[in-house]
Amino acid sequence: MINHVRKTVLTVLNKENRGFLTPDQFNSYAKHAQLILFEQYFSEYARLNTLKNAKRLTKDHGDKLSVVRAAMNRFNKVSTISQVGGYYIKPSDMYHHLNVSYSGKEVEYISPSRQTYLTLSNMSGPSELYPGYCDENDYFYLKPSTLTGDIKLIYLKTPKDPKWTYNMSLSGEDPLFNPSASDYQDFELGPEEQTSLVIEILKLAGVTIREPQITQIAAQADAVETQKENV
Amino acid sequence: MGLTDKQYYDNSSNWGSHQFVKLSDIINNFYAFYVGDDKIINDISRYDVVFHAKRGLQELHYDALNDIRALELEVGDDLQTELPKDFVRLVKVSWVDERGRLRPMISDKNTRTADAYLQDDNFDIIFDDQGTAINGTSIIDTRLSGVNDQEGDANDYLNKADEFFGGRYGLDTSSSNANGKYNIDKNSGYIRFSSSINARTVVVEYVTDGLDNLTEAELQVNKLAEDFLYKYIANQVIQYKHNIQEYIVRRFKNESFAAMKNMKIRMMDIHPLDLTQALKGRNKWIK
Repeated sequence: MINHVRKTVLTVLNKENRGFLTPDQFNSYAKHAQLILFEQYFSEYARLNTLKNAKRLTKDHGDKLSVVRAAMNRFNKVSTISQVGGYYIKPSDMYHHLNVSYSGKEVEYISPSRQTYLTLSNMSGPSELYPGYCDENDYFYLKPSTLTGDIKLIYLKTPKDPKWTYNMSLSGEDPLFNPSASDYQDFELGPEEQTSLVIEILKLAGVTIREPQITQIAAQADAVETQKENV
Repeated sequence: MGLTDKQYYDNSSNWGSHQFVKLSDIINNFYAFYVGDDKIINDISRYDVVFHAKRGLQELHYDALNDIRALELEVGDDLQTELPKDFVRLVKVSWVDERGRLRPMISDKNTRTADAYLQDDNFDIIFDDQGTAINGTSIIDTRLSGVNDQEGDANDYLNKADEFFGGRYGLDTSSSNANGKYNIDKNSGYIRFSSSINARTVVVEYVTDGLDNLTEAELQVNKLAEDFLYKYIANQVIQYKHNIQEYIVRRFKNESFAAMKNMKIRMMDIHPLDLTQALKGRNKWIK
């Protein structure tokens, strides 16, 4: 997908000899564009959920909420983590944790402001049957502290940085796409995001080549798309 | 899923288990079917649900389950015994006679336990270094321990006075009982008995909240009360959530109330056979 996106971006930019993007520039914008779209999933999910509860989304083909959910689920990852020194170190690629379980039991998040109250609660403090976890910087820890086994963590991972890899042609022409390079990385977003990626990269590219018209056209395309979705 | 007949009958821990549902299952089901993005309760912490579930279980025990526990204890020379661990409210105290029958006792409303502060010669209260009043031995305790109904003291004028208490207007039925008396000191956590109970075995019947004698995993409730618990938890959660329309709050409250009434009727355990049995004597001639 990354090669197609790059070609589209370059085609738009070169249409009227507006300029050129180097592979490094493209990779940098591609990373940024992917993160923008990934983070939009969260607000989009909340917005569509509100629409669905207001009965403004239909089932099946009209259910855009399930489309966004499926797009987000692409980043779901399950990991088993062992305790080290009383703590469970978070995976380095974790963006947001969704669920923690211990021996098949759901582990509930305990916020720092409620920790003391809950620990002292005689009715619903964390216990072996209803355990809780606290989240501190780079690690989790369980309550009660008698729990020392592995936890199963389901989380959303951060998308990997896309990288368009290439070989230089001997004739000094445009670099040639090389998907076999060891550091090659395609976009992790689904193919349905191709258009959005092109628009986001064009917005960034327009600023770089000092061509405000490109940014305007891209922003306009984006606005039209948003308007369609909100009807 | 369900056990086979063999699995059921081979393991005594399974016997009668079908009448109960575990509290942990109720909490899990509540999450699965009452909480979600497309439900009225979109999000709630599990510890909130656990709290309300346990509170609901306590209310059930106080109100409807009629689950009265009984504990058999021997009374020593000190004429007192500790309250049971999961004691919440007393139902009845009896002693066991030679044939194993229960002899119900009555509560002694004329005897009280009292703190007794030490006083100096000027009748001023004596305090320790921390400014706390020092407790001595209660004169009530001293005098009660000196009474012996079974021996010579039976003819003591004070006991006679007790015997004839209310005599002018006939027998005081509220205190007339040949089986002895008891008195509960709720703060200190023990039951004191009249001296006639010395060396006897007593049975304390009491209401519990259903939580203390079991581990969290063992907590369970009769299936006839299951629906009430779901409605109770939902009502409690909705009551304390903000931005819920008042008509929804009222609807949940009404549902919870109706579920409680239904549950109480179900738990009353009245059968037509019991009624016909009781009514068989309706034409009996009284001579």
